[in-house]
Amino acid sequence: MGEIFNLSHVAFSYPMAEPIFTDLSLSIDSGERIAVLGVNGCGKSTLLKMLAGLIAPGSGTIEAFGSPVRLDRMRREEAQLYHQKVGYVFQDSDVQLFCASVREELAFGPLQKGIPAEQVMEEVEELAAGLGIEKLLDQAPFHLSGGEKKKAAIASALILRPEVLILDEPTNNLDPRSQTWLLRVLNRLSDEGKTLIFATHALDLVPHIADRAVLFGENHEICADRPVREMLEDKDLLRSVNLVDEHFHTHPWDFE
Amino acid sequence: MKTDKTDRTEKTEINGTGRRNAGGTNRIVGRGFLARTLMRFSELFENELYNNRYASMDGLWQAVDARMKVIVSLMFIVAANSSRSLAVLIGTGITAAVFAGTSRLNLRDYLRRVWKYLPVLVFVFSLPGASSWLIKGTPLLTIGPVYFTEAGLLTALRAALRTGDSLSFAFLLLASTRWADLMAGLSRMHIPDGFIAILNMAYRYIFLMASAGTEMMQARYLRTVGKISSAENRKYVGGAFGQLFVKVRRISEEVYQAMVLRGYQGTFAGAERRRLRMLDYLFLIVGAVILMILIIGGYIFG
Repeated sequence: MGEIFNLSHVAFSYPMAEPIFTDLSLSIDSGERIAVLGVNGCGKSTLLKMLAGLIAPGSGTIEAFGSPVRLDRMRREEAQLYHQKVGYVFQDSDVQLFCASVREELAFGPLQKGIPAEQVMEEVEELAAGLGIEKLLDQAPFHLSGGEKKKAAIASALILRPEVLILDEPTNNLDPRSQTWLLRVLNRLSDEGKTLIFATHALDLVPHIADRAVLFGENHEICADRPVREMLEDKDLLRSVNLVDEHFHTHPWDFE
Repeated sequence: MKTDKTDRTEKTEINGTGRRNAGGTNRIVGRGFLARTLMRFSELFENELYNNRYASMDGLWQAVDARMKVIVSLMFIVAANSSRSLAVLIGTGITAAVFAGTSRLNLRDYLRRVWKYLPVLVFVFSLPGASSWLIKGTPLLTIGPVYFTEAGLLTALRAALRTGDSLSFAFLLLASTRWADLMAGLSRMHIPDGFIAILNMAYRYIFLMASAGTEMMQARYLRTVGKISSAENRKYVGGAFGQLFVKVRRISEEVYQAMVLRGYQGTFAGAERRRLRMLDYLFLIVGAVILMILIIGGYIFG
């Protein structure tokens, strides 16, 4: 497995705010399944947006696919290519669904790439059938339930066939059935060799969809980077970053 | 104890709290300020559901391509607004009603939505301009020091009919066409993609805002116990709209980011192109013929 992302001494802060990262270093290999864990406000979403190229670091370097990445300095074609390789699913599905129908939503990305409309529509049908969301295609996004919106949002990212899929809190507001659907999709993508990176608080689901966990402390620094099972069994560590309370317990057999 | 005559107890009932329900089937009962504000949000979704229900029916206008519907609607609207003939104006209204009937729209509902409010209001507000203050002549109707001439009343009537005719065709077009199809139609008519993108985004934001607004109002309602004065409610709604603005601004930034992540670089690539069928051409021809008959009738009957 080759290295796909390398963050070296990255610092970042939002305007007029305390720094989020002061010296963040992280390496991610191709095909990995990584869960980014931490309490609210620890910098998980910022890290994901940085990997997606939505925000650039103040200092330090980010390398992706073997080349330095500064999306703010990229040419249009380079940026498009990068966005094609790295798919992103927002925490709030509403922001990701801006077209008049789910069909148009799915077609949006490929059409921007200049793929002929007929071919795009065929790909849309194929993907929708593969994900089991054909019935949603002609519906307006705002008529969908939370779970359906999430499915449409994930499909809109997958249609570009990204090598890396980044998901911000993917199980938020999902009922158990939709969560199962999501787990199946993520596992299938992993089997296809995609790299999956996601931020989550759903610790019970993490072992099913990730092999490695990166834990952020409340000081926005990475305080542990271990295999998932090892991380979740270290209750003292989870308690020290306030991710769980003292009554938290896990069943290791759930992870088998 | 001091009592305030403006105090009014909110007596609202909101059944269901889910977003989907908030989008259409929430029943809000009450006359308080909060209830009325909630009702406005709720009506927005109901209108959308109403349009979607009729757009999916099996009627004449639903079967026709959006491009032809836009052209025919514009033809009738332009004709009505440039004609002084009552025959043309009334004929256009009747034609729209017949079209509504053949498109399986509920006629009673159609007449209520189109003709009950706006044309009547336009007529009433046109009366001062149609009175003896501006139009002199032989009095037909006298109310105190003011009288109305036949020409004055006809002017007010024409304004009302033009409004009703324009509304009729706009209503027909929107009720019989899914938003996505309408936008695709406009795109095929070579309306700039940027303009269509703005329409689409605006349409999307309206529902995002309404949805967020409904939830904020419902949250407020559910925490309201006892008497709340109207002034308090207005104060809350003012604050809520500030919050809503901040929320929508954040959402709009993320929507833009989502677009960029899927390849958006400032211009929208066009959607699929559908060929016109015989029915579409027939519809255009029939529309044009009806319009010609109305215009000729207007010359004959005045």
